[in-house]
Amino acid sequence: MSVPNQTAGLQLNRVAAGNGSVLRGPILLFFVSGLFWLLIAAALWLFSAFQATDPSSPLVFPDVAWLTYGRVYPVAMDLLVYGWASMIGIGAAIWILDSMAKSPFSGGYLPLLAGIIWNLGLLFGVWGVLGGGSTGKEWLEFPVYAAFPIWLAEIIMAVWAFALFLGRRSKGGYISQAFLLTAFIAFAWAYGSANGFLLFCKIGGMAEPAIHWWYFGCLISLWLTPLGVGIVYHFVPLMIGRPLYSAKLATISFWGIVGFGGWTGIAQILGAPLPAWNQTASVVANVLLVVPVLAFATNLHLTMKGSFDLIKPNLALRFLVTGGMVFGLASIWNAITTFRSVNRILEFTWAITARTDLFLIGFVSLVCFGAIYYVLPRLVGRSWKYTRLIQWHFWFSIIALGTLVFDLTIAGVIQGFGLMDPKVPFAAVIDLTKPFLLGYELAGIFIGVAALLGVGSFLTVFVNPAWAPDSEEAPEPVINEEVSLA
Amino acid sequence: MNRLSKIIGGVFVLFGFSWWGLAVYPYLSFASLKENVDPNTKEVAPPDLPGAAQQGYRVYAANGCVSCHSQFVRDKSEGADIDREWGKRRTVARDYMKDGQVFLGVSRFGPDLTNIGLRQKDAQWFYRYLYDPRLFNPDTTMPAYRWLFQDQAIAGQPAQNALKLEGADAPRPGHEIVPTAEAEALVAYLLSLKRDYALPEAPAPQE
Amino acid sequence: MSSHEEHSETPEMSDAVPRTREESETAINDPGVPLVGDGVVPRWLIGVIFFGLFWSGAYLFSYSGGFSADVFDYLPKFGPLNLGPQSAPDPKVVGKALFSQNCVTCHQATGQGLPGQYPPLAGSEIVLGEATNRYIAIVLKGLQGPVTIKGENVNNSMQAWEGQYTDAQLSAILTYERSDWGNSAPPIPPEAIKQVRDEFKDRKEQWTYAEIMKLPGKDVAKAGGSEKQASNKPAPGGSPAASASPAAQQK
Repeated sequence: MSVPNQTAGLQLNRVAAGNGSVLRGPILLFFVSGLFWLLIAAALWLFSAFQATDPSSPLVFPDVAWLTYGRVYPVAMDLLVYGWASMIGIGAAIWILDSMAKSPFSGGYLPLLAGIIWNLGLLFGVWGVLGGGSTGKEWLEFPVYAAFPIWLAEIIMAVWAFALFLGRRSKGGYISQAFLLTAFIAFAWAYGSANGFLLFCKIGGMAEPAIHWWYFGCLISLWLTPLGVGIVYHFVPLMIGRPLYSAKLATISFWGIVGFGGWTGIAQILGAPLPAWNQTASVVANVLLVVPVLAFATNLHLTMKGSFDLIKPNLALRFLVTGGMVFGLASIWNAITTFRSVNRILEFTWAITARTDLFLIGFVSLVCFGAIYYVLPRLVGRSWKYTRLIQWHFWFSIIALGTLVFDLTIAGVIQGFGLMDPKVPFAAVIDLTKPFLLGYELAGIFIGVAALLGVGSFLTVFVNPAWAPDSEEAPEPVINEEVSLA
Repeated sequence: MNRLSKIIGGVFVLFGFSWWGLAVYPYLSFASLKENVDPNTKEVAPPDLPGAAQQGYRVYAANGCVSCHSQFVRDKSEGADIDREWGKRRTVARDYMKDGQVFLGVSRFGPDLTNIGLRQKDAQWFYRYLYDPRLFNPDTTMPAYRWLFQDQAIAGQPAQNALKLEGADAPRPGHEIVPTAEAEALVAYLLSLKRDYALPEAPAPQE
Repeated sequence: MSSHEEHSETPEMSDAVPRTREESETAINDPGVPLVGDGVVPRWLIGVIFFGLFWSGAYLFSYSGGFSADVFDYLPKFGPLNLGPQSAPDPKVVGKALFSQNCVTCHQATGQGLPGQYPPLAGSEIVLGEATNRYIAIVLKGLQGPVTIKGENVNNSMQAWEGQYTDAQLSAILTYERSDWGNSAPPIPPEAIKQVRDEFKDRKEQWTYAEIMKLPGKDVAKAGGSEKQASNKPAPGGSPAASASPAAQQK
């Protein structure tokens, strides 16, 4: 039995997307698909971690084209981004936008259609890249016939989101709407123009990497970031039953991310023959991006102040708050490693991979799980009882994140200093990193376990006791025994 | 509503600004690049890619070579790329003007390949390296690409490009390992990777 | 449902002043929509914002290469960039390029020539000798018949190159030949080529090696030394030491 606590007094159900709504199907579709792609991605990542570090591993298949590292690893990353993070983010965005709009228009068939098309695009993409149709551009590997459906699905979602928003009955709004609508605009624009320029018009020469890495920055900072930030901004105040600390901080974080986000990508290829001002502007954007992210993290912190004891029992909250705090750290680390003096050492190394992983696994994935744990029980009308599994899931996620980022960063620093010294032969540099890359294999296993635990706990919700929308208790996973009644 | 249009307008302006600056502006400024014709030798730099290499870059792309190999040499002030003899000078925009796709890459888990065609000039070396990287470098983590080759019975004369393999890698008696068309295209592309011509904007740093 | 509309303001979407925390907390019983407080922005963050803007402005204007599209280096370069025609091309680089167009067919990229047919250039006493007028004359007019270089006899023919290349180009080729494959001898300036070209401008036929060796050896490459008799004239079949001595005289 759940013990009443601060969250339990809330009746969080009166949203159109709840049990019985026409939007229940689409949200479930996005959640189930996202988790499915997460499992595939984790399996492929585990594969590629062994392949990258140990050529004699039994997971290396030199005779099988579609199982070589150069195809498996890109698919794993693409699935994490476009399959897992994007689909869960969209699922949560449907919930949030609908609960904010209170519109009689639900257009439930549009998100359903988008979900189906998006999945088809991913399927084509996996098929295409594993089958040898990769474009060879990081995070844009999907060939045209896979990228187009994804883009189309996203356009459908954007149209749906704006139609819902324009037909809203509620007078006011909330910061999460601004973030989510911005994300929909930005991704449609960025993904459309990157694929249009590069795959359709086939622009070559140095313009190609410029557009490609501009897109990479947009994908991180104007698609995944606003989705994650919007989710945290929305669910955290609801769960702790207090308003967001400051509207001004929210405004700063919004305009900062929108203003600097698009400029961040080129810093991935500093030293490339792009105009100096492009590179410098990108460095500046990455550094200045710390300001809005700090505004966000501060807002989150001051909202949570006095309620921090809730993150122990409330597991959905725990995922969201941890994710938000990791985002603050990731952003500062990103700024430090972007400075020319640091970047020239760490460029091309595992540390840069770790930097992206910290964002993707530490921030986006944790927030996605937090959103699932908050939304899902309300969606299916069941209260979440199997908290033990989710606790395991949380700690495995943290251990996986720590192992992955710590190992790869150390390996990257060694690799970076090795590469800077021309007297150290290249093979010796690789040799020096090898002990740490064993940790990469371990992290791959942890990530796989964490993904399995996440999917497992997702499945348990369907065997949980029913939850009535007018119940006095919140349905999200809350640990009972540790909560004092005081 | 007025508030909304301000927000949407602001997002469009700010986002469009980055789109212009980092996507459209490089496109426009690089579109006007012209090849360099040496006034003394009438040599054209960069040279046109050979036909086989045009196919090969697709194989390079499809198999994710860019996941581990970069293709750009940074300035001497930016790193040891030149000291590692990955190139005599930094690469500049004109180096890539004829490339259908530019594989800059963000990882150097393998060495830079900007000038691999200068360091290794023998197709046989590439074939054998792709077939079994451990032949040359026992510590390398590069995967073997055996599926780029086929095992066939020797019909009459051994094929000219058959791989010279010994020991554990040696083919069965009466058989030979030959590169597939994909491997040939890939190696032709790799052999074409040489930026040994001079461009006035990128003088080689003096020792 | 109707009560939603009363307390869900944010500065993002509405012009209304945000509600105070106290007010919103009392209204929490309908939490489908999160509420926003009007907390102040911490001072340190304002400091960070202003410092960030100041720093980024300074950084952006210092390291942007004048915002031009063809500057790739962020470090400011002092003085004019070494670009375009005002910088003289390195004759060795130009020479090597020219060499690999024609000369390489006979003399080979290694400079070793082909035994019995084409003489080596590496260590050749003609190439490295002080009597540079012979070297230039051969290249200008061509050579026919038996030749003895480094004690080895070769016999074939070389065409005249005077019509093919300008003085500057020939100077580049010859300077390059004197600098690669272990060769090391002073450069041959274009003026030296011009001098020899003018001297033999009426000659149409190729030289024979005997004719060449009869020419009085002069180091036309050395400024002011054009009329002086070259002292260290390598003889046919001369020792390799003869070819090494000009290198030793290099300043």
